[in-house]
Amino acid sequence: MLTIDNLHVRVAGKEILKGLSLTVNAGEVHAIMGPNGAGKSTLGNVLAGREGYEVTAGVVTFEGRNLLELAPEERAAAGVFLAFQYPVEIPGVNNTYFLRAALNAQRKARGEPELDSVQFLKRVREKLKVLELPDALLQRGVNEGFSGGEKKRNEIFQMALLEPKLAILDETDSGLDIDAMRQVAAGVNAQRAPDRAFIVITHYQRLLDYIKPDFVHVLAAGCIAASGGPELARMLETEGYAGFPQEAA
Amino acid sequence: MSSALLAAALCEDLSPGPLPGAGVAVVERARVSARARLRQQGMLADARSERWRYMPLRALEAQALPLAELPSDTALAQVPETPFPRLVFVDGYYTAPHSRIDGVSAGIRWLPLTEFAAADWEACAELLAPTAGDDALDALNLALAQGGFVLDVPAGLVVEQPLEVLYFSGSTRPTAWHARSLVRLGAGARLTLRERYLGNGSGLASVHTRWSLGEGASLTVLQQQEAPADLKLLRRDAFALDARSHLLLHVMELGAGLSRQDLGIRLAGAGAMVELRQAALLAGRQHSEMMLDLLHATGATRCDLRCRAVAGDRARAVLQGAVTIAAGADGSDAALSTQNLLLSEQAEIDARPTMEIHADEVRAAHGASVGQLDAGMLFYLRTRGIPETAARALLTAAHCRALLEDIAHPMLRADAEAALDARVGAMG
Repeated sequence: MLTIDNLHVRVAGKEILKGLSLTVNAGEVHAIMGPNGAGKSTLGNVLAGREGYEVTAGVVTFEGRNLLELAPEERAAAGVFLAFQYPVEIPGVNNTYFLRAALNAQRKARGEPELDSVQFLKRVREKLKVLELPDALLQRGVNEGFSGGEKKRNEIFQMALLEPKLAILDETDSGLDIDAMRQVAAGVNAQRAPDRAFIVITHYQRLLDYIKPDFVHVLAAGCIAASGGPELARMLETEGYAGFPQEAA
Repeated sequence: MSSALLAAALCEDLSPGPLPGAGVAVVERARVSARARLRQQGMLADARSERWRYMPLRALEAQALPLAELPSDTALAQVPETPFPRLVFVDGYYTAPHSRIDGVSAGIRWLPLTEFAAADWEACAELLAPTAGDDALDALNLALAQGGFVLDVPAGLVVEQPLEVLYFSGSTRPTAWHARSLVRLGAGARLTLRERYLGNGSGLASVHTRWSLGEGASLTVLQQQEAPADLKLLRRDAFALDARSHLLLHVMELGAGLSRQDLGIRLAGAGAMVELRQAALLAGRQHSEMMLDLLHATGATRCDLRCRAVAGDRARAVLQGAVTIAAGADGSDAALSTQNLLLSEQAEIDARPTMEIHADEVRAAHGASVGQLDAGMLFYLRTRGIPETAARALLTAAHCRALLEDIAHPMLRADAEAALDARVGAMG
C-alpha cells in the first residue's frame, strides 16, 4: 500500500529525515516510536503534504501513485488520513458542515455520489456512538472549546467517518488520561480492517497495550534504527531510547 | 462645493414630484435652511479633516447626479419578497405596493414621510434638525430626502416579529437619492429591525437615521448592506440610549463600491449598553469605512464593539473613530476589538480606533490585529479532503460568521449567513 524509499526531508534548512525507508501493507498496523526530535511528526506531516517540508531525496508511493506529487486534499481523497497531534480549533466553521463538506469533497474527487443530509447524519450518529462523543459537539465550531481528550477523540471520529485506507495517528495518546486513551484505542480498533493500514506514531509503549501493532519501528536520528514486533516496544519501555541516536540533526 | 453636490442640490426644482412635506411651513423652512447651509459650507467634506482622511472624495465628486426619478416598473418588479412587515423604498421613493405595514403590533406608529400630515411633522422635530456634525452631507440629506420614515414603539410594547426596511436601488442611470428617518422606542419597548440594501442601480445615496431608546428599551438592528457595486452609499446613524437600555447592532458591509457609515452612539443613561458586531467583506476595488463616535456620557455604561474586516484584491476597509468616556462617567466598561484579514498584497485595511478616557474608575480594553488566513487551519481542512479554494472560502466566511452568532431570530440569522456565504463565494 505504502512504500517509503530513502526519504530525506528538510525543515527550515535542517535535515530531519535522513534516508527513511518503510513498507506498509494493507491490513497492517505499524508503530513508529522514538525519542523526541527523532522526526516522527515530520514523517506524519510530510505524508499528509504540509507546506514547509522539503523532500530533498527519496520516493513515496501510495497504491502505485507518487504521493509527494499530490496536494493534501488529493492525498485525502486517495485515502490518506492524518490524525493531528495538536488538532486546530476553527471557530466559525460548524463541525457538521465541515464533516459533510470533507466527506463529499472526497467522494466527489473519487467519482462517487455525494451523500445527502439524511445519509450523512445516519453515518455520523453511528460513528459518534463508538467514540462516545455527544451529539452537541456537532453544532460547535471545529474543535472549538473541546478538551484535549475531546479533540483527540474527534480526530478518530473523523477517521471513522472518512474511512481512509491509510491512517497516520500522530501521538494521538499524548495528553490523554487512561480512560480517554481506551476510548481512542477502541475507536481505532473498530476501524481495523484487511484493506486498511495504520501508522501509529507514539512516544510511549502504553498506547500499544490497547492498539496491538504488527510491527514496531524505532525512528532515531531521521532513520529507522530498528524494527521488530511488539516485543520491541516492551523492550523500549524498560530500556528507553538510550541505545539509539538522540537527535535528528 | 463639489460638482456632484451642487448639481444635486440645484436639481431639486427638476425633481419629478414634490418632496415630502411640501407646503408644510416647518418642513419648507428646514429644507430652505439646509440648502443655504449646503451652499455656505461650500464642499462635501473637508479633505484635510482626519474624519475624511481615507475617503476617496474624488470618486464622490466625479459625476453631477440628478435626483432619482420615480422608479420604473422594471425596477419595481425586481424588489424581492420577504416574510416580514416592511417598508420598501426604491431609489429613495416609498413604494406602497411592496410595503406591508398592516398587521404589525397594535400601538406602533410606522409611517413613511410621504404619508405625513402637518401634525406628524410637528411631532417629529428631530427629523428636521441637523444631525451631529451639521455638515454638508447632512444638509444635503435634509434638503433633498424624498424617502424615510418614522417608527414609534410605545412604552412597554414588545414587538415579537422582526420589522424590515428595504432600500432598493434600481435606477438604470446614475442618480442620487436620500432618505431620512426616525426610530423611537419608549421605555421598556423591544424591537428587532432589519435594514437591507439591495438592487442593481447606480449613483449616490445617503441614508440618515436617528434612533432613540427609552429607559430599559431593547433594540436589535441588523443592517445588511448588499447594495449594488455602482452605488456610493453614505449612511449616518445616531443612537441615543437612556438608562438600562440595550442596543445590539449588527452591521454587514457586503456590497456598494464605496460605502461609509458615520456611527454615533451616545450612552446617556446609567446601565445603558451597546453591542456592535460589524463585518465587512470586500473585494475588487471596494472601499468601505466606518467612522465611529461613541460616548459614555454617564457612568455605569457599557460598550462591547467587535469589528472584523476581510479585504481581497485592491479593496480597502477602514475603521476610524473614538470611544470617549466622559469626565465623571466612572464605572464605565468599554471593549473594542478589530480583527482583520488581508487576502491579497494590494488590499488595505486601516484600523485606527482610539479611546479617550476622561474618568478615573473605568475598565477599557482594546485590541487590533491584521493578518492572513491561518496556514495551520488551511492545512487541517485540506487534509480532510476540502480543496484549497473551498477551504479558503470556509475560513474567510468563518472569520465573520462568529459575529453572527448572537442574532437570535433564526430566519434573520440564516439570511445573514447565506448573504455572507454568497459574498465569499462571489469573492472567489
